[in-house]
Amino acid sequence: MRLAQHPSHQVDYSKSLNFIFNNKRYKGYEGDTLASALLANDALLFTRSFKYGRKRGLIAAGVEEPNALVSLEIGGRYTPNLKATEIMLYDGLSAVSASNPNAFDIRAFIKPLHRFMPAGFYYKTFIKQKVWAKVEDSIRAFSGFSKAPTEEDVDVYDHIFHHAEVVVIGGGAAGISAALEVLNNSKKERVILVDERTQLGGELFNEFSSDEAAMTWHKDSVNRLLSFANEDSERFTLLTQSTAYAWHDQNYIEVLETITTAESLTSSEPQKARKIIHRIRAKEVILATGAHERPMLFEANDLTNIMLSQSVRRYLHEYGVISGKKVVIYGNNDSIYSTARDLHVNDIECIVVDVRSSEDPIEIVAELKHSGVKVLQGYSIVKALGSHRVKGVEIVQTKLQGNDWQVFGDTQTLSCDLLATSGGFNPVVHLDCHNGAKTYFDEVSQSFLPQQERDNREVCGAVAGASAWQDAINDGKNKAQFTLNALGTVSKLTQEILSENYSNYFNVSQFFTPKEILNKPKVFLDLQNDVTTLDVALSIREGYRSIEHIKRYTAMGFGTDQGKTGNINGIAVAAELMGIPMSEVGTTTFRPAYTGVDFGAMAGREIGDFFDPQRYTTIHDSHVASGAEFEVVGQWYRPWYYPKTGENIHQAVYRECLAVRTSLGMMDASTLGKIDVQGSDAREFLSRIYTNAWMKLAPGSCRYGLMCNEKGMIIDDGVSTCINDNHFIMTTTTGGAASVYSALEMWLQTEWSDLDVHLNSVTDQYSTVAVVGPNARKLVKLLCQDVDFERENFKFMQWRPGTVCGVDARIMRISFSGELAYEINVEANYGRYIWDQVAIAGEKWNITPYGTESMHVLRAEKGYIIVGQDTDGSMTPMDVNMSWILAKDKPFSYVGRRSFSISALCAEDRLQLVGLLTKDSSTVLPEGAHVIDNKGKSIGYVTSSYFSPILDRSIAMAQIQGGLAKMDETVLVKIVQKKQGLKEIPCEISSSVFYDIEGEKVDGND
Amino acid sequence: MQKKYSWYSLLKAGLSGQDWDQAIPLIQPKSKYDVIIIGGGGHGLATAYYLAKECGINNVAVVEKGYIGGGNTGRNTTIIRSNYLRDEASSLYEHALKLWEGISEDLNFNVMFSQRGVYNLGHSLQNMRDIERRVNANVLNGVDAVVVDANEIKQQIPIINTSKNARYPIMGASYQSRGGVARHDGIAWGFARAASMLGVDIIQDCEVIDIEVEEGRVKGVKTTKGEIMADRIGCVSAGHSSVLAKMAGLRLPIESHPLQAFVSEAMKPVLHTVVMSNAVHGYISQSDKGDLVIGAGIDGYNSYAQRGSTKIVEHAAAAILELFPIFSRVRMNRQWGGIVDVCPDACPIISPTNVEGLYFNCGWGTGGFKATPGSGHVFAHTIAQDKQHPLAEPFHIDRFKTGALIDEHGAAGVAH
Repeated sequence: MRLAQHPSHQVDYSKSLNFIFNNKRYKGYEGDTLASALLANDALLFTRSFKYGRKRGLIAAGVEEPNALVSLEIGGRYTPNLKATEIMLYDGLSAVSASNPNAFDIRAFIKPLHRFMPAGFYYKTFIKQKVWAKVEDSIRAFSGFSKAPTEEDVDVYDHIFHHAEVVVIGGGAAGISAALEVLNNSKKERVILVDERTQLGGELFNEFSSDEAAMTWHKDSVNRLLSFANEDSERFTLLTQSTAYAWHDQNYIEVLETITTAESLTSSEPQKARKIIHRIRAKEVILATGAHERPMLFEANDLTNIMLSQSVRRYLHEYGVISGKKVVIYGNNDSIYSTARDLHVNDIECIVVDVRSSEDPIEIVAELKHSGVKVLQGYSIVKALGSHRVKGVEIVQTKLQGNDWQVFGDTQTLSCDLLATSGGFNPVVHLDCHNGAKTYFDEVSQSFLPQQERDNREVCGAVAGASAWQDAINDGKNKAQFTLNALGTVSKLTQEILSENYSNYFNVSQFFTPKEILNKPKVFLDLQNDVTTLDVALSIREGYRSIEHIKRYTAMGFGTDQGKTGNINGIAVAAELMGIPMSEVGTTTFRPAYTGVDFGAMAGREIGDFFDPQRYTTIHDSHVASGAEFEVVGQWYRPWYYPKTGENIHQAVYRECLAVRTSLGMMDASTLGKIDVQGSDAREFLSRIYTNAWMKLAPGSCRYGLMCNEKGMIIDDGVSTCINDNHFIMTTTTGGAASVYSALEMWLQTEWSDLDVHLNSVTDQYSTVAVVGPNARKLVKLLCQDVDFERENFKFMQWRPGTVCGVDARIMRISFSGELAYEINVEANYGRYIWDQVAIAGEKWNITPYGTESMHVLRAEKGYIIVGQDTDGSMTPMDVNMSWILAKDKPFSYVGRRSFSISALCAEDRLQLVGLLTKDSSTVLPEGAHVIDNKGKSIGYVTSSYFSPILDRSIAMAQIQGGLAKMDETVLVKIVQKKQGLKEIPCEISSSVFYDIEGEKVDGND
Repeated sequence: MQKKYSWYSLLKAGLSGQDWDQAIPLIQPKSKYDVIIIGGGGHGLATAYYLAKECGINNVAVVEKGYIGGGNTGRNTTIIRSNYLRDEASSLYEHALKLWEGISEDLNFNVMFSQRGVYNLGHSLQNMRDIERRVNANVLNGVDAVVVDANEIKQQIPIINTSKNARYPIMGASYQSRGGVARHDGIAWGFARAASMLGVDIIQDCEVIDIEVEEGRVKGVKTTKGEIMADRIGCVSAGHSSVLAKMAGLRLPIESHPLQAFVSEAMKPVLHTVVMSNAVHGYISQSDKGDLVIGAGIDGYNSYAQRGSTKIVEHAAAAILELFPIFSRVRMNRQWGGIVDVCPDACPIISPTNVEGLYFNCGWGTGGFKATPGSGHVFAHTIAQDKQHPLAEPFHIDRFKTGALIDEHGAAGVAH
């Protein structure tokens, strides 16, 4: 039912909207939530409950709502598990219950069996593994709320970073007041105010009709904030529809802003961003997060149209909606009288039931009674009546005897069609606890309040214990003053601290948990997970007494509402049953997220192509034009092979390899990591990092080095070039560049800070074109006239500066194939030009571009290792038959050296890298296949395996236990995967150098 | 009172107001035990259970500083598998997996071990070489494993993104059909209840503040509930192993890091198996309750705070969307961290120490949950006989001196 429009309303009756819920059409107004619009239409049923299939409706108006879960829209905008209370209505909205309340539900149908299905039921049943395996999926089918999406998201998400001096979280009376106070008393401090709702004001709207001053203050204050936001946007940022969902260490706050507008939702175009995560690093935080009301406990307290009292008020004042004509208002604190007054003013019949006796008469009670409202003090509701929708309540007399509630007298029945309850208020301490703060139980407010003193944080308003709106405003001002003081903005408080004599949480009584009620069935604590008082009792009886155990055993608080309304009652019940104070029971841990955060928003733009940077060399377009297939290596896209029309990978690689061996190939080697090492200790540094000697490497020369970690295991290799005595360029493997760079910096910064060495990653600064093959010298001579390329003047492992096709270049004579090869390094932007010039000039030798696959074959023919393929982080230089590269007499030693002498690394049966030749030369071993001993046990595995075109046979490298001492022995490689054809393949262990064993090719033949 | 769990007892309890016996009795410590287990997580409780059940040592206390199962046991993503690369590790994990397969019956407590299979995805040629190597090793070791290609994955998991245009396209996976997930609290509670029934004292809210050592021999512990003596003490306190070791004057080769995980809001069943990707740093399954359970990579820094940096979690969300783009509008419900003790070789320590009577079971890194019954089993035998169980032998602490490391970085699931 809608009431006449009132200034407190956030809906605009002149703008009506059409929407569909569970296939039925409804009308609502702009400013409505889906929940308020449905309530106005008397559509009360939202869902079936999780375990018992009970029909449920709304209990709240905000994010604490446990029941009203719906899915929104379809296709690429389908969103599961939204709370109807958090969906702003728009024209054409379409939503469906997570669990259709109108459909047949087996869970409700088996009601007689519910008594046999207490908490922990599944721990006690289906104990046989085979039985569990059979039934589990059927049980699973009942779980979960909405269906999962089926299509990709059509929308995108952004992340924005902020720095602020002050962040105020919560835009109710206290938050507004605090933000204004900071802005009014500072000049340059940046302030951010965050609120989850569309309009600032929080619970203040509830006061508008009864207190004009509230309305005036709200209007003035919000206008002032808006003018700050508009006129001084450098200083003030207002984030509405924005939920601070996590507070991390060092005041790092994450806020999820919902951008969605009705227009964008109905358009098929992607939105700018559906949601934005604001990551705020703040100096000071003011928490004004308010409080959530908690329900009262009684039998069948889950019937439809039993709602929280302040939520009933909120629907009334903000949306002009009331879902009953005859209302019982029930609670243990003074706030219920405000609800009664507001309903009464609107001519809605109501009866107040207050568990507290009337010893301390309060003014509003007298007023209500005087105006004809029935007020029953010292009464409690023991049971709600009705099958689905509440039809009435059973009440009995109640009094507090010491610390125990007594219920007595005859049961009376009151009829009603709406029941509003208030069991007091829970300060929203969630955020404060995310990064380690504790709560304490406050007897006066009967709630867990935030830890009192914390650095760089103030709490104000309801979260701090203030209840009346005027108190919240004063508290906001006070705490803002403290904050300004902490910032040093004001040296002393600019005004007197206002009264902190708050109204003690509406004179709330202690939790109403008499045994007579706790022992009844269907007294629900957690509505979303169907957890009752009996479940908690059982949990305790069975020894699950920690509140964390109770939570985990009963699932209390596990839901999408994270127990915002229910947990506190569960804690009270546990305390009562165990006979210990609530402070001793404590709370469960508060963790992010305060409310749900879309995975898409978490990921932001870092999905798809942006998941990880894609790195291409400057020559990439040429490779694409040549039809290359690409291999992803680290972040790089490297040409894998260059198939000609109709060629498969094997044919292409065969052709490429032969071209290199017999004439000329070219390869883009730009992706290799390059680290510029400079400083007077550069040589010493390389000596410590690499296993071999570097002190005598002359400028103009290059050297291969092997890098180990402290454990003595190979982690990288590559050629380093001496530019001059204080300047080297190190190359690393493509995939290892970043981790090597980190490791080098780690050594320099933490262990060898005395060394004068500076590192710079220059991978992207150079392009490298490798020209490889017996005709390489002829080619480079054509392209570069200012370098003497004669073999005796420009030797293997030397480099020369020169001009290639007019471009300054460093030309290195190094080789990863065993052939004569030059690597032309130019400034990166010339890479493509040089590549193309090389290709044109090389035509007469049929120059052939080749990719990583051929590179692998060519290097394997020579027995060169690939770190990460032939080694796996557990191979020493000795294991790969490279003891020759271990220097014996370095003054400072080098990384890994001490490990080479420990016993396990010297063991003879270590896996060692050897060559492996199949007896049948055409059989190519699968990589990863294992070598077995005569008992069938693995003694090693194949690391690399190819067909070698130049040798016209297969070759392989393998790690084999004690392999280096087993030359020429025959071993079996066992194929154990059916797909590869089960078999044992006889092979001979050999040297891993298969081709050009004498190394004659490297000088070429001219 | 109903003690044994069965259909019959459920029926009786249903008719008599759920009169179940205590599964975990509230107990004050005695002054002396034969064995004290420090740490009431899954591994510690399993150790106590097997001590009582198989080693004839019933005078055992498990002391837990908080509530049982509240550490990594209750914080992990519950994945169980045994497809490790090295013989030593795969034997241990396979031992555990075999125990898992009978654990509910053994404990008379359904731990909801669900063998819904585990996929370890490969996204590069080298990933696939590693997968081939590991699967072949598994098969030779009698551990079920197969290599599947992208098409086969797509057939089994239609919602997964196998597009070749993905940033890191899925090239294939190893698949272990006997792997799966279990109810993490269940395994702690199941072991606790079964151990209690065999006479083990499980003492919660009892923090060890000192380990008493005299002349190289362990004497007992000082706790917040007083001094408790024992000749033999087993430390199974993942996340704080180094802290406990320090009390006894020992140093462990361990780094403690935060490891984070998060769950989505519960949805109807959509993912029936476990998918792990080491390359993009995310792993995922759907619990019986319906929430997606997602694990992230490890935080790089050392910490004892059970929370980590947001970047890691957000990257895991992105990784999950790489694999399952349809989950973009699904919401994270809750996020948390645990502390993992990581050894240099990504393998645990199950070992006696230089202090006589003091044993450590620690360093499981990111992968301890799956080993729970196996770990407890071999540790119980190690303590009872003062001699390492054969399966535990390779995991002696001295391997960090001899260099006989068991490098499992590749198979550990999460990059250490």
